[in-house]
Amino acid sequence: MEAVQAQHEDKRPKIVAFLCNWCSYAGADLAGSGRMDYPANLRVIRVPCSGRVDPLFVLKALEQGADAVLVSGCHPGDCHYAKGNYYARRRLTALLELLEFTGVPPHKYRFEWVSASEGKEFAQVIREMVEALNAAEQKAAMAHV
Amino acid sequence: MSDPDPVPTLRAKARELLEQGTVRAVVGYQSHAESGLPVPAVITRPDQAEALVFNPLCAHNLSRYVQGGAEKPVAVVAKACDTRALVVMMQESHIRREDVFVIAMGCTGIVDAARIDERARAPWRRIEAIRTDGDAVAVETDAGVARLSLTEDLLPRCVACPVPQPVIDDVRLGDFPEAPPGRPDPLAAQVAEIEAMGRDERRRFFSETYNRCIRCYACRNVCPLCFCEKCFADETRPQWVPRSTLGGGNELYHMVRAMHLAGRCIGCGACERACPVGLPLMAVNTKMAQVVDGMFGHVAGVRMDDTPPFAVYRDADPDLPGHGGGKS
Ligand code: SF4
Ligand code: SF4
Ligand code: FES
Repeated sequence: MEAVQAQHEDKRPKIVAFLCNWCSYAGADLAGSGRMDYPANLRVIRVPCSGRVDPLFVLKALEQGADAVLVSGCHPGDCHYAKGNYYARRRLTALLELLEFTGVPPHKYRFEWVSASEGKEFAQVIREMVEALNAAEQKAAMAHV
Repeated sequence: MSDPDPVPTLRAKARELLEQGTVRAVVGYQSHAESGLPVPAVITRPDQAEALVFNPLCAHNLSRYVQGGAEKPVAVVAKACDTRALVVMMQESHIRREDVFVIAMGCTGIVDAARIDERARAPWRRIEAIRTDGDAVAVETDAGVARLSLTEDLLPRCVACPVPQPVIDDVRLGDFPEAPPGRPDPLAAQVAEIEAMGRDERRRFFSETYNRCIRCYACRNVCPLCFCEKCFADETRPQWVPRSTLGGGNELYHMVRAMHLAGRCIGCGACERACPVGLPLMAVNTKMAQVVDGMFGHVAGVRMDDTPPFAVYRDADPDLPGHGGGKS
């Protein structure tokens, strides 16, 4: 983990992305192989299914200094394991409420469904996340002048 | 059948259960040898039954002490609300119904022991007796009687008591209110107050709160539903939460704790009462209970045949923002 950190130290903001193997990882791959233009700020952690993503992973990544965390899996109904993402959905929607309640800025997290064919959509999600992070950083910098 | 003082019946029942060997132990309350305040008691001999007490200062949720897996059940003295914890423990297969004999005690609210100081005329050292007297509790101390109101001096969680009837019981002693008292809930009010702040202000509020935590884990250790043999906070490989607070990790502990108790917390308030640095732990607990009720229609421990809310799903569950549901 530290090696990865050092290697990519330059590329900020840093987004940690938990992508399910069967849809979103393939979607990200498609975005890459299709040479779609999206920022290279991603650190991808491939998980078997969005159902594998423990809220602890998201919170730990943020605590360790990720500027934002993305969790993405197959659309409801399309999970390779049939229902992993339905369980994930309950956890993630509850986690969204907790993050909102405790005032964690919304540009720090995003939970999405991206299919294997949605390379374009994946690139768009990343672009939006980076834009939101840059905007927040600029706002913070302005507040200090 | 009205039974204004159930303590003699409670002692007789405990004695009988132990004499007949129906249970291996009775978990109840006794008076602390020095202060006279009620504290937990675990008795295993019939002659110890005389030590049992029950009064409106019995705040502890004794289901924390219940363990299953033995040949004989353990009897536990439980207020109506406390039985919710037992129900969650059963729904999650932590214990079986036959592991516990529930002695449900009628209760019209528990008063906050901290108020004794305020209501006593002089500094007190020892409580001689605790009597219910109309809508007050007369706490007779060595420095005179402190009268605590059964409406004004209640624990926050008792003000709007949502579950005055036990969810499960093997015997009921005392009088149970038919319905919730219908008073506004101070815990819900606290959540609403936090929600009314701006996001930045909320962030400050929770950072400042969690910064004060000394990570003694009293909140976890007292919680009847923090029964994992290995808590993520104790894990060393990988070490999610550093041993020392100097290494950070307070916020992570509290956020994960909130998630682990979402839909499971029965709102007993034990965590907040145990916290030595006075953190408002019920805010997040109450909020997450509202979230799980609102989104999945689940209230922890109020029905025996419910399934834990994160072990099931519905097609019609709220979806992620931007996906035909949820907030965006
Ligand atoms: S009881 Fe209070 S101080 Fe101890 S770990 Fe819990 S919140 Fe922190
Ligand atoms: S989290 Fe606190 S209020 Fe909820 S069940 Fe545990 S001790 Fe009780
Ligand atoms: S395999 Fe993609 S969400 Fe389950």
